[in-house]
Amino acid sequence: MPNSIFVTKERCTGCTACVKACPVSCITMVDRDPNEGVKWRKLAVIDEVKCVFCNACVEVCDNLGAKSAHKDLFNAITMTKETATSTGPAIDTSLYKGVWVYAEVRHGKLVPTIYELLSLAQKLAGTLGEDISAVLIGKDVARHAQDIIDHGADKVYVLDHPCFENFVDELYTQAFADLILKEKPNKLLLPASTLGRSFASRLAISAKTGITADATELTIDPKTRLLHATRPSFGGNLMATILCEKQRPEMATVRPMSFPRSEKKPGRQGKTIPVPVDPSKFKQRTRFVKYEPEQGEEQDISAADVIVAGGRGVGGAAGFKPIEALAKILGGAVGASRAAVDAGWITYRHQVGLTGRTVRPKLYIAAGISGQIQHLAGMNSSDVIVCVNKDPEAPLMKLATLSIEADLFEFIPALVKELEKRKGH
Amino acid sequence: MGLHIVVCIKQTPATSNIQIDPATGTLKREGMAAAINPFDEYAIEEAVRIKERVPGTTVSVITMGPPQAEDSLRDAIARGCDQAFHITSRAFAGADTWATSYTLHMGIKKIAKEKGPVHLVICGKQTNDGDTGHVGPGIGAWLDWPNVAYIKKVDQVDDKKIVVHRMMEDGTDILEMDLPAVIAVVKEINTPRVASLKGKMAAKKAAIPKWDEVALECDKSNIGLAGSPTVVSKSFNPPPRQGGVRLDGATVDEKAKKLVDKLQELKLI
Repeated sequence: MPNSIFVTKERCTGCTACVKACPVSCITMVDRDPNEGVKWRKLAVIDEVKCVFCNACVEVCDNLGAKSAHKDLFNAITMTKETATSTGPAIDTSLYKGVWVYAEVRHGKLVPTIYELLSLAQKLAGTLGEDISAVLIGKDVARHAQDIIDHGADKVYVLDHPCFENFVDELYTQAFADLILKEKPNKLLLPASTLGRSFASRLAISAKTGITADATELTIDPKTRLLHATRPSFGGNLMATILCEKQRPEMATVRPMSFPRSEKKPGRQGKTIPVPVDPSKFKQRTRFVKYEPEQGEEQDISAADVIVAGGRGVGGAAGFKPIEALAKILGGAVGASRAAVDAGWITYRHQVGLTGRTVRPKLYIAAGISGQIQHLAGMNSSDVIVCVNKDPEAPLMKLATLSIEADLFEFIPALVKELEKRKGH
Repeated sequence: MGLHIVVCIKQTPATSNIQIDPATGTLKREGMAAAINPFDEYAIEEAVRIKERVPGTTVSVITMGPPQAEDSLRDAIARGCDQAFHITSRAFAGADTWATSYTLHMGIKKIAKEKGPVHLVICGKQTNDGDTGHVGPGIGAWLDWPNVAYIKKVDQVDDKKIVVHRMMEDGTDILEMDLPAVIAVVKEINTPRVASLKGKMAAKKAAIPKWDEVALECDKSNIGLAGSPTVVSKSFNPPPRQGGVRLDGATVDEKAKKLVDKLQELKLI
């Protein structure tokens, strides 16, 4: 049965709630034919070609119906969705066991996303009653295995070989896919970092399974034992929960900073499993030439506990001076909105938002940032948001934990002064 | 010798233009036309730049999408692509990244069969509606070609090899790949040009073949919703963040004092 969606004319009041809910703007309000004899003047019309069958409009209309005293109004949209009947080779999913996490290594060091994945894995493995394995790929990486076990892994598969010194998509994928096909994990989580997103997507195809990108909430349905991976799409305007019912492992990349880090229990018992590596088996059509470090010493935003960010309101490159001063005294990093980066006032590595980085600091201070949805998508899970803006109507002023209506060029220096004063005591 | 480059694009709703109508306080949506996914504009531009650097290079552009997605292919020709191919059929609807990358790779194979071997496939880093960034590397896997994503610079390129700069969180990785290969580019790579008059004329005249699942000889178990291992079980609007406290004061110093008090209270400083 193909996808279909329609509006029951008699039940539509023309309230436009569905128009606002639609992430792809496929609903418009048209004038009703006055001959219909209906008192409502507008009627919702859905463009079926543009519709993504996300159910968002149905949900808002049904919610209004539930609240309304008039039982003959609302509940106006009916959607039927094609049910997937994958004709691919069925696999015996009961053979697949264990929650696996990928430990990213960069320049010989463990990237801390592994601790976030381990805390999430503990939650998922707890529901499933299965164990946790980590996969470590690199050169001289076996030394990290005990640290991963201390943080909650029961097993660590180590693929230690000079050929893995640097991340190369093709090479890493072949090695990891071989291990997946042999060991048959049930779930597999990778960080949604630059490396993780690139690696995971190639890996999913090679391991013949489905993947959810950039999940921010993950749970196990205790009945079906399926992974429910929820991710933002349409720039954070819509959340979607994705399932992979028939293939294993169910894979997901997990947005960094979305989960707490697991606790370290020194000396925890676990098993390190060295995996033999024979590079002559692999196709090696990519060669790593060299790494060039980022210039500058500033703190990276993706791991910062405190971020002070500037937007269009800072007015120019010089306008970032007070922002930097505040970041310095708070021991934080400097962030920026896309407007400030596009204007050339600050480099891209500072950009927070949909097309920049996602951050989750304890404190996010936004100065001169109005708070477009794209920016919010990158920072709205910060613990405390402080917004400084001249415009009391700016969207972020309404969302912030603490908001201050002020000129940032007056307020930020005053704030720096106040902080210095208290530090002195 | 010149290269044959295939650029993969998608027509998406232009969600970045959401604006609030000051008169009514509602979202202005009429400006939200469908357009080439903004990240794909950089892919098109990079292909055209390689064509300008390496004489004899041909740029093909391909999309999978509904009939109206043809507009985006014509737009791509106006921006300098030489020929366009449109994968379209109801059977492809509802594809996830597995089915999408499978279908596009079948399209690339057909382009190669009809127009000569393909050396390089270029994708944007992600789409602005799905945001996965998974299709480019997925195509690499299906074709069994090497791939590198997050490319911010194409260094040397000829019909045998390509040297690319990958943008990482902490700097730049430089890698060399044998061709054929797949790359996905980020917006730092270039500034896309506007369509030329000559390009617009070419776009108008171009004959764009339409291919369905039969033309592409697709394995039906890999396409569309039915061929997608992942399904959307539910969608919902994210709960809005609750607004907080407005800190008032007669002077900025007073406001600054109040904020520092609050931050101390929250143990943030």
